[in-house]
Amino acid sequence: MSKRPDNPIDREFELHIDLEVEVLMAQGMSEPDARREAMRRFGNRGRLRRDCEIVSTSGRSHSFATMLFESLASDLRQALRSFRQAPGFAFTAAATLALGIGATTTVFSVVDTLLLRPLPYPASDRLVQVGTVYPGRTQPSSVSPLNFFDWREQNDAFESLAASRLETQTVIRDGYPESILSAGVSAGFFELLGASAVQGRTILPEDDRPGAPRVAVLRYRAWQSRWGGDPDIVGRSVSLSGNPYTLVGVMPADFHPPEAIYHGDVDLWIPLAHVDDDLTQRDNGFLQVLGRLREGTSIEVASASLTALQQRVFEQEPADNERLAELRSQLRVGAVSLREQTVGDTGNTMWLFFGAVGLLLAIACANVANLFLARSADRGRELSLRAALGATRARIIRLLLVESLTLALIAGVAGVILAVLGVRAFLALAPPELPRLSEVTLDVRVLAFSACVSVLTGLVFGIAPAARQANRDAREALAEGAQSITAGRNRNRLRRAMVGIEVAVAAVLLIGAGLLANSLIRLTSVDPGFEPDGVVRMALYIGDNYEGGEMRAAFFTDVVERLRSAPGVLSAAATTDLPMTRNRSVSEVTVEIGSGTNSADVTVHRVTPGYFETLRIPVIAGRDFASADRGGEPIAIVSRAFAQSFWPDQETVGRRFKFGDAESDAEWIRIIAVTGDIHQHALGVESGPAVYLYHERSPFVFGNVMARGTGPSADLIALLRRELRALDNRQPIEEIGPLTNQMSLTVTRPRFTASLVGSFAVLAMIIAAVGIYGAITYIVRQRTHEVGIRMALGASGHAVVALLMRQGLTSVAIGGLAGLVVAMPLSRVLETFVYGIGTTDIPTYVSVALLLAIVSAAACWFPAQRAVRVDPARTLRTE
Amino acid sequence: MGRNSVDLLRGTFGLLLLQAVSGEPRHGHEIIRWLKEVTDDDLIVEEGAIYPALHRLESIGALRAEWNTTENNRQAKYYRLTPKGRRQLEAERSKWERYANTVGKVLGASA
Repeated sequence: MSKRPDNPIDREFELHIDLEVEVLMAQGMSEPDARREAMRRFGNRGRLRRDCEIVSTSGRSHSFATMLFESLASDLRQALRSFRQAPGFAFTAAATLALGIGATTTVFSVVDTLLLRPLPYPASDRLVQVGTVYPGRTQPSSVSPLNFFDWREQNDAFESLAASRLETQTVIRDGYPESILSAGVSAGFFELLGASAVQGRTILPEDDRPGAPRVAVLRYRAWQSRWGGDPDIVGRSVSLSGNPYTLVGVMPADFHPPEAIYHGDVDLWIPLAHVDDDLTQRDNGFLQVLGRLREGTSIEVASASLTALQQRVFEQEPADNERLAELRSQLRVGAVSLREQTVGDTGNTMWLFFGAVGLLLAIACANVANLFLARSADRGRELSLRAALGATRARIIRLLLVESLTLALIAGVAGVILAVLGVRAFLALAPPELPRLSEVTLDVRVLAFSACVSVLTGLVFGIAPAARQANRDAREALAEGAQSITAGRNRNRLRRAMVGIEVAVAAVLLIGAGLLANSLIRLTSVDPGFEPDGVVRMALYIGDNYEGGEMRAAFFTDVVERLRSAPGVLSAAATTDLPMTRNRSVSEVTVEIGSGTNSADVTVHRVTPGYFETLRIPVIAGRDFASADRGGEPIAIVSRAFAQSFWPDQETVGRRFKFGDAESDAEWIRIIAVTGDIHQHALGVESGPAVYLYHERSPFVFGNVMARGTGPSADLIALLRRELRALDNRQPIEEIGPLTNQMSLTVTRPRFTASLVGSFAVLAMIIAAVGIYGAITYIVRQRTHEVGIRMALGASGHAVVALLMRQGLTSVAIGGLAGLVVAMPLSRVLETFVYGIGTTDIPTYVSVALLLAIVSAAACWFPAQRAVRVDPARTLRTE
Repeated sequence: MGRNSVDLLRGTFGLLLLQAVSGEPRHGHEIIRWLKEVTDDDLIVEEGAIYPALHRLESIGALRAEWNTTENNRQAKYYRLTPKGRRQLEAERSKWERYANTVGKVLGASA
């Protein structure tokens, strides 16, 4: 078995020819002549070798087990050989399936993580989030500390309950203060989740007491990124917001903090006893509470028992006022499965995608089956020879199935490689609010899934050609030379109908993708009204270090002054609301119109001088704030939209408005300038009227300091850090980075949607193209005889190609038109996703139609072209 | 190959091959030589075509093959009849004789 199978056959042939040469030379021929004659007598060696290989795999053998193994191995070799003989066919089929399997695997790996897999905690089906349910609400919300303590001690429905409170701490790293998101957790929090530390320990009951030594537990990634994976981390002390803590443990890398309460961002845990809040409150809820249900206790029973417990507690401790008593009497306690709370309504969308990708895979299978059918006509001679030489029908069917399974497995491997890339792209594009993203991986489960899908597809598309083979009478096929296929008109109709449907599906998806891509392009080319390039922003919370408005205003004024005089800085400013964030504060304002008044809601921003210059927002009339504006009459700057909505086409500078309605006794504020409108919240959202107030007269505690510089943003970031530290070395930075990052965040979702629908559409189009190609190839094969006659009777190649293409393109045209018509009403579901165009955007529809026409024409042309290249004489002889 | 050469009827080739090796084991070239000899060169065969047929008979167990040394000290694959092959030869032979007999009767009768 170690010898290559071709060798013995070749040796046999060689010997035969050599002996014949000797015989002929003995009769007096010269050696070259003798060799030529011997070869001629022998016949076509390549074909004979192939026939030998076929027949030796077609017979029955002696021992069943060895036969099965050996003949499977030879079927496999046979399959690979037949792919080598028709590489174009094999590649088309494998690539189509690989795309289908790759897409299915990608979506499955996400669906599996999000929807099928339990949360990554032991017995996670008993984990719930517990909370107070306010009147008129259904979702549990935060819990007050005293309520939590009572529940924890007195309930009988839970094995354990644990609470968590998010806080931002300041740590000093490399001399710079930094913010770190931490959570104060009650003892037992980690045990409840079934997690233990990879180094050191977690938080113990004795840690979670007032006055206990302060300890902290690190998340793995924080240990790696902020402490460089220091192996001696346990026992180190760290200063958190000025308090000394001892690091007692590190959680393992695969510990995922529950996203339902953390959104994946927390990096450090301290005992609940050490959080900054007053833990003796009864009616102020700020704790997120997790529970582990007792075995056999349902969520409903647990909620009811906690609600009863809560009311008992309230009775023992009556409210001190009637409003509170009223509110308390309406409170319930509710629990929601932690998994449901984590995944939310993303589930339905993901199932939809999974269904869609499954459908595409099914269509891909049907197309490959069609390709196989078309090809089995080509292989008629080989298959008939096998049958004539005694291969049983089962044997031939098995050979065909081995072929399709081999192809499917090759496609499966390629599909998994595609899926690796697909998952990577998905994670890169997915909006961060999508749940459980950090858990998404291609693991054994997913690989097992793709293996099953591959085998299944192999069977699905292999069965049809094999079954057809089974229906043929071997002897008859041999007599016919095996090229003729009875034209089943019904089957052809079905085949064409399928092409039509595939084209229709592709058209709908392409239109959706076209609309979304078009919107995305428009969205990213929207003029935001300011210039984010070259600006770096730094978010600061100064509430811990600066008390009172005056100090806070002075801080921001100082930072901005320092930055403005730093080398390489063109301008600097600070504001509450960074553009392109969802933060907004809306107020009602009233203006004087003639003798009366007029009111409207406007967004309010507080800024330092230099804001408009730094963001390059044009000042249309009037002047920027100046430090002299600290005293005197209250002043404000308004946006053009503000001016237009109250005083269209009139002078605005110098007019007055006040906050509140007409009756309000707020002071009147004088408008000193009008500026250009900007997209404050997102590129796709028009901002309404806006008011800018001078920060020294309405100071803020959370601010964004911005600087426009000449150099690269990395230099500017370093400069901002340096200047801040020089001013106040205790002040941490919440976030720092180029303003353009903020801009790209606002297009994350549109980009994700467009990419997702776009990939589906491209996939559908490729699959439809293969479908058209397969169907036309098949039809051409069936009509080889007719084509031969036509050509023999003098029809030109062009005419025949045109005839065949007309056949294929008719179903394409019908399907395409149907798709376009269906897409019109369907694309309305995209209404909230498109921007700047209508959902019946004519250019999109026309481009899709053109694209489909070109692709379909190509898919028809190749097989049609091949039909007329065949020698007419040969096609006639085959009947 | 003479003027009166015979095109083989389908299905009979196997029978001829079984007969060819029913005595001593032979390799392919010897079989061809023998066939030409006994038919006075009247049989049209593409010489190589015996090999697929031999391999098929081998794969169904009617022949057994082994590599052996020829008189001229070359390696050749010799085919011999197995008991199964012998039974098949007898069965095919009687079938053929019945067939030839029947056809002969028809053609011998006057119409």
